[in-house]
Amino acid sequence: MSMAQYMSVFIDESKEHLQLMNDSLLKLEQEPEDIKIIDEVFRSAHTLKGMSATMGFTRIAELTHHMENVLDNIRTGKATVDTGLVDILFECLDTLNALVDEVIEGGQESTEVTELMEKLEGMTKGVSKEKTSKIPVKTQEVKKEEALVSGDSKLSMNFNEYEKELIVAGHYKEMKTYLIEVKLDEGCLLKAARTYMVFRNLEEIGEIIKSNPSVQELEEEKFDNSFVVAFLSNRPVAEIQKEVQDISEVRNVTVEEYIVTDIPEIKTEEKVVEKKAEVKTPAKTASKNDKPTEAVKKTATVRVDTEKLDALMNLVAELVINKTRLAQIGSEYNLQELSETLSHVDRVTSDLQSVVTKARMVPIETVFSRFPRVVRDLAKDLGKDIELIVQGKETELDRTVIDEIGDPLIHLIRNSVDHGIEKPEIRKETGKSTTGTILLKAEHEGNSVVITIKDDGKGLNEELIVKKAIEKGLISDDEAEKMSKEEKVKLIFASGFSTAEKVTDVSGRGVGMDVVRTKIEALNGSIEVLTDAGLGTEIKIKLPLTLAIIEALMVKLEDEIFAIPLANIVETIDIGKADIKVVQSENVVLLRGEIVPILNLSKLLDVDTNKPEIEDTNTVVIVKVGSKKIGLVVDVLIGQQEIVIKSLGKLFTGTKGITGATVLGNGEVALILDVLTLV
Amino acid sequence: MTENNLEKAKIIQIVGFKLNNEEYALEIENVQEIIKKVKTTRVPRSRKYVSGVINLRGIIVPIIDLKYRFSMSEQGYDDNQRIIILKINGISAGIIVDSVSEVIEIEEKQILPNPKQTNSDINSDYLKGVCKVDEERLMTLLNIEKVLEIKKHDN
Repeated sequence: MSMAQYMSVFIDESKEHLQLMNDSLLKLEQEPEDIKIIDEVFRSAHTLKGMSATMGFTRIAELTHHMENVLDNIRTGKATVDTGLVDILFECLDTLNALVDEVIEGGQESTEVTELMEKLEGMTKGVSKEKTSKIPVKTQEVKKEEALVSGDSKLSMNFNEYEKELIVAGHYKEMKTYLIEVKLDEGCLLKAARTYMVFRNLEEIGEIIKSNPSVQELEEEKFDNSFVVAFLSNRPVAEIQKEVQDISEVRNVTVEEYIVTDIPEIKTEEKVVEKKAEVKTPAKTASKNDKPTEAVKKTATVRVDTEKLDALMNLVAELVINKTRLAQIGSEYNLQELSETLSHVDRVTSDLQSVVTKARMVPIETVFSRFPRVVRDLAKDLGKDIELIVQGKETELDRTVIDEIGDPLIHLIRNSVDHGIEKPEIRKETGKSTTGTILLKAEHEGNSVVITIKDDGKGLNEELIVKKAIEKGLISDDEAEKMSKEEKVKLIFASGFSTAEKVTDVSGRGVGMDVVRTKIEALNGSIEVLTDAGLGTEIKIKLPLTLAIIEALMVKLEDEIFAIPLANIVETIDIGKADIKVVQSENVVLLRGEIVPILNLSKLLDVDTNKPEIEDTNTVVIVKVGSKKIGLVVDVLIGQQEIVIKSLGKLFTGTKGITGATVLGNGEVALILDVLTLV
Repeated sequence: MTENNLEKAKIIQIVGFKLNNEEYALEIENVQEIIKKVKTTRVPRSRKYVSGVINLRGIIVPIIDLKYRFSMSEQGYDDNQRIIILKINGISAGIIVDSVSEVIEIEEKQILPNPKQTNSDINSDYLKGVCKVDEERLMTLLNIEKVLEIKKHDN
């Protein structure tokens, strides 16, 4: 691996650990008593320390080192968790994030850490002074823990924090910890090979935590004739003994159970076990690999540029087209065998297509994970008490949608915190619980994903909205009178609208909701608001699973084929010449009481045709443009199909009425209409 | 030839093609591939010299009608017509030509400046010079970046 590759590993992993630390700190704030969470934070800090020290990023290493000291005091009971501590830890986290970002950008750490380190140091010192009397008691306990050896044992081993965690985790999985001493024959020639066999046999029935001498030394045969391994297993002593004894040239095996004292109570056992499995050792950057704990399974992943996935997608689509051509040849020449093979190819290609599509999907967790922190910080600044409930974070969406959805969501959540949820005293007065709740939920609904942001705050006052809208000249008095409640609420999405009485740096610059709506619509999504004054607001965002594929209606004009996105279509109808009236020299039709303009699509798109604009019977596609409807006259409706959207490229940006292109089954290109800019 | 002379004699590879009966050329770095002429899909409301788009292995590529661009007369289509797919600054585009002749190596000094007084309809911005291949043969070397720099030159 070159330095650059180490660097990308470092960046990826430190980002992961910082996110992990963020999650843990948020949990810690809720459950300050839970020592498990402290352990999680400690582990992340520890790993970061190791990685950054290896890479030579001293500030990160020093800061995490100081964090470790403070956290260690908590773990050993010398200090307790309070909000001040959590705040400082969050501060450290922000600084670490900044440092890592600096490393990413220029490779140099420049954010100052001394002040924070002094704060941390102050905490550790304060602790030792304040609680001097307690220390002797505690140290005794610590000693006992470190000498975690059964009373009359001959074998012993020292474990570091991480290894102790593994032992504890194993204990909850009902695995016992054994110390196994293996003595090889004096004349053993291939000591490393024998050792390897011992390890292999043991790995089959349990988990090796540590060995003495280290694995590396064992591999290099840097030991006499015996070594000791710490081993986790649920098998009885005799079986373990036999498993090792059966290997040739092993002279003597001693298995002793290692009695673990002081195992902390934990609530959910499985959860802890899971967490352990996720812990990554900094093996990739560490120079010494003395931890056989590598055996802990990881999900193997590879980071792939989305451009490569797009290219793959293109190639798959091309494969499908060529397969269709082959099928045509097969039927032309009546080649039965070819057709049979092709039906197999057909299945393979459609599987391939769905795998590639899935490969682009990312769980929405990547976006949601930012929000607990945002809500916490904001609520704290505003003196509000807010609980954020996140549901369905495993819901998957296309990478491109995920990348775009973060900002609008953060805006909506900020709105909920800032304008939605009331201050505790007001909530008390209105008989609500002082803690406000914001629900953030993602779920599948057919071919789309619905994201709901629901708060139990004061809700939106539609009369106030209308008043503001009239003041700002967005609507007239007359218009306001005719509006339904829903339409009034929708005014918050109009550009230049903000209900905030003063501009805070949180929200209320008057661009917010308008931008949110535009962004969601650009993603082919929709947004709606449900609100009850006094009870809360619910915002529902509906997004397509992927931007790459849409449902469209294919239409023909002379011999040109165009696709109209189904999302824009209201209905298709046949209209006779007699039903079309001319109003202000425009063709219109009265459709269920609504006047709908009728336009000839061929004329709009300059199609070379001799047909009259209006014929005796006209096939009309009714589309919605914003809140209005338009009827488009087409020659033939071909049918509905799923199409893959492709960009027309830079040379065509700004071409009105056309949003992209798709490749048809015969390899030719059909254009996708953009109804919004067509007229 | 001495070292010095070798350095001075910079060799350029050009791809020769025909529009009507005149010979033109492009520097080979700009050429991605040459394909047979296929049916293009017209893009409504686009510029007139854009013949349309084609599907090139899953990628949509715009095709430009050079004769229209250069206001040349149209002399009908035949089997020799090709599309030269260009890749310039990451943008792919194709140009329709009547036939592709050959790849020729020329020295830089064989490129002569444009004759000032021409009756050509082609905007002189689009030209880099005239390649004198031999005594009998002249090819107009196009400044294809300029030809494709649509925004600047189009109204």
